[in-house]
Amino acid sequence: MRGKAILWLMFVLCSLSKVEAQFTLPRIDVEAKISQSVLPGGEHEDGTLKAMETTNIALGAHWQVTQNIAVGWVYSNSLRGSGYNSNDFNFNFGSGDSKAYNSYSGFDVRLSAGRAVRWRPYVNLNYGRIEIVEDKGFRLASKQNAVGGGIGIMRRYGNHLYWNVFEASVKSFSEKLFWADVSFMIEIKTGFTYNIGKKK
Amino acid sequence: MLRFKKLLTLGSLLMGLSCSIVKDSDVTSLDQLNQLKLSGIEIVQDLNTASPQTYSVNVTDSLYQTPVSVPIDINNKINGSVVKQTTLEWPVFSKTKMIFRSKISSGGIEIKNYFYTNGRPRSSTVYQNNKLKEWYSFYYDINWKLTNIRSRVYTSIPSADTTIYKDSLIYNSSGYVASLVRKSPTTPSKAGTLNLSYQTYSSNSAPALGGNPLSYSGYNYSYSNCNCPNGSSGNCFGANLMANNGSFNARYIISSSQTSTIITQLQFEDIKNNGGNCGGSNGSPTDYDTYYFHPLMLLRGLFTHGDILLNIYAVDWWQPGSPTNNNPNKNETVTFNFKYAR
Repeated sequence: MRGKAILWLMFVLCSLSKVEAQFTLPRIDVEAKISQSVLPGGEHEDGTLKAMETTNIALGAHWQVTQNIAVGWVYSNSLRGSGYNSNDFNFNFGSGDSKAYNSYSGFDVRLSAGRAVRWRPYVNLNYGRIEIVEDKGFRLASKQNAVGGGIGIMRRYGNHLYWNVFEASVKSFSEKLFWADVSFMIEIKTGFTYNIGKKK
Repeated sequence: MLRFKKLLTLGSLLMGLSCSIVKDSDVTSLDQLNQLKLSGIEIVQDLNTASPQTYSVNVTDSLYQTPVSVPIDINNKINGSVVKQTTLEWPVFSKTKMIFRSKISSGGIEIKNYFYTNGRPRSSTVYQNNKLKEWYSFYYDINWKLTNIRSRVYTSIPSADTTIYKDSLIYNSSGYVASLVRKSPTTPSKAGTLNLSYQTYSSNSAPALGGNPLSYSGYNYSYSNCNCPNGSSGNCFGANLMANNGSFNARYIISSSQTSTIITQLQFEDIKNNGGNCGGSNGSPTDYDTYYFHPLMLLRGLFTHGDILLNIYAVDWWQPGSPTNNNPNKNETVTFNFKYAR
């Protein structure tokens, strides 16, 4: 807690500093993506969850520490989702026998090629809190920590806008769901990232 | 300064959006899941002569102020406490495939189930207009393994026209019922030993009934999942029934959805017009089967391998239809949709 306070104080001091020219004021970017996730279960006995899939909206904001390193916060929430208990998944999206939702909120670090290149690959690492809900008439829910990473590529349009063409990521949960053999999630995403601030 | 304010604003916005999707009423542990109360049942019957009909079963729980001490075992040596009674008001069906062995029908039917402190069933009773018509008792060993089931069916007057079955369950080393020894003081022709075989149907599945057919009371029961639809995996199982003289055969499958001890759906399907992957002909030419109510239809989830038990007791609840020259063109189904509350 004390460490966090010190970090925030340093950030505030740097932000309020009137020193010019020798170093650049921090830039920030915001992102909005659509993601499709799959949470594989296990093929076990009668009725055990075989898989969940959800479609999420993911938002984020990053402070670009340097051209290649950005830190920030990401959040995602489900627009829709299905659980597969009686039915096999077989990538038949939307054909499950229950409703499924998940939500994630956490700290994110992005390492990428510089902002100027047209095709900008990146990797990200994140850690945060995931919530998973399956609605079978009664709702089963789990809240736990998750650590994840992903790889993606974005294409630059002008000085501010990037199209996140494709991103693939995995999140590993701190424990399995209490009602199913589910311990990780695979996601694919696409969306946009926008740099806020002066033209460099 | 402006960028700092923007960053703060965005950060605050995102953290504000980080609201929980988990509600206070959600089930967040296995204990909470297993303690869900049955709040209602919807029975959907899809029969060949009509569009699907839906009927509601009202369910009420009564907790005993003073637990009732009773023996849990068949030898009356181990005590347990009965703490709860669940009453189900059975609906009146306009047409039904699900009937009662005691030959009761129309209104005034109630099913009362009694439970021990740990949620295991003590007994299940069927009443009509407050008169006891069917009574099923469950007995356990000291480790709460089901060892005996006693069935009493009073067709007309109690102590006359009564059918009593006393079943002892013998387990194999893997914990599955290897044989069922049935005694019947009222119906000696139904007494005998039912020997059960098991096999696995895929590399990562648990054992299920299969292998050698079960012979009982003039019929051969061949258990398998071959009549199940593709992609139903471990949630579907059934049997073919053949009379020993080969005069007819009948088929059923049971599909279910279960999480831990909680069953959300149980469907019985009378296979007539699709042979699944079993090969051979359909169930026709055979009239539609009827099903007798059995408490395992409601309590299956509360027993270890309860799905297997329900299939074993098809010897009691499955009533094949009489042979006809008609060719039924639709499978009939009876579906129980179970509703729960915390």
